[in-house]
Amino acid sequence: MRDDEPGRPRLTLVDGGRAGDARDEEALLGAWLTGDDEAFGELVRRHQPLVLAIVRRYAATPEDARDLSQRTFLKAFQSARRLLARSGQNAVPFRRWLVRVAVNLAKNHRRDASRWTSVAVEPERLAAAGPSAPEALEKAQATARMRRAVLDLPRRQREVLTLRLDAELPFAEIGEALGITENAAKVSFHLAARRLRAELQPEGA
Amino acid sequence: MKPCPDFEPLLLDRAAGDLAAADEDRLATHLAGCAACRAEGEALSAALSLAALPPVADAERAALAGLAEAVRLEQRRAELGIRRPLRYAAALLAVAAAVAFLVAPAFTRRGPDLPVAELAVEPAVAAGGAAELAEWEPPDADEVWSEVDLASDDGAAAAMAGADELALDVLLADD
Repeated sequence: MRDDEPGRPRLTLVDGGRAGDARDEEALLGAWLTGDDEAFGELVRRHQPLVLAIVRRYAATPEDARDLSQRTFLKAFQSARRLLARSGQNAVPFRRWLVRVAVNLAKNHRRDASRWTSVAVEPERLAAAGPSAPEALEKAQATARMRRAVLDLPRRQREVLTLRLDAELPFAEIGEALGITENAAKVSFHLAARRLRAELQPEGA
Repeated sequence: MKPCPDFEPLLLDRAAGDLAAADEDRLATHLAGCAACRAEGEALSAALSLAALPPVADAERAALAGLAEAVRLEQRRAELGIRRPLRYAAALLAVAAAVAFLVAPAFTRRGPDLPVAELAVEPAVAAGGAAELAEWEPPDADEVWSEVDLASDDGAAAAMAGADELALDVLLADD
């Protein structure tokens, strides 16, 4: 897949969030429900950096990440439409839906061991991306080990850690997306960080 | 060496980038005089730094080109793919139900009631009744069908609407 193919639609990435957006999310959702394709596109463009940040750790290739992103949006739109139709507008915080769906899809993707060979945990490829020195390989191995340790964390700890580390979400938003309290999210992060720290440098070593 | 229990949560908060401003000075003052907490803080930072992903690469951004349009098309395709079979199935079910409702009585209706006692006592009447019974024929299904007004398919439409809801429920069941 090449970005410079003639005739291929080009997409300009924009930062997530509401700052500077003339139409707020509720208005966009309302417009989308009435068939406004432009509103639909705006919702996708607005949130795709966030979705990519969540799913890329679980993707083997950029195309894999795109596939996960696409499925995330599809599920979130379908779920949102159903709920909006039933309960009226303003009932669905779309961003929260996206985070939750992305986390769930990533979890299922992770579970599918046959497809699971992430670039993020291959030391040779990590080393190839940097200077070719013994230290580089050593660091790449440590990086790969640590990223594997992230994937081996208990599910809740892994979700919280990656939402914080990769998507840089505040703990309050992480809690909302995962259906737990902000404090519980912080505790999960602390537990995860302790585990990773022990993996890096076991006590007594 | 283990970190001081009172300060370990602050070290973790700092590693998470969530250390309250009010605690920053307190932690900095403590770290200046506590080697164990300094080492723990550095180890936590190193672990999380290694666990973090690199910034999004150009190839990853490029792979997202046209995502909005792809999602929109896929959504429409999915809607059509789900609705068409269910729409046809619902319409067929509605028609089948209407036909069954109208035709079933013809197959379950008995012929004219002729008490057995009367047949025994009145042979002439019994013969007449037998003749009536012999002449009785079930209604023609084609005739019945032609009398059914299918110009308005409100029933099918209603069934279709229900099927759509069901389809979405099925689709999202694995969220």
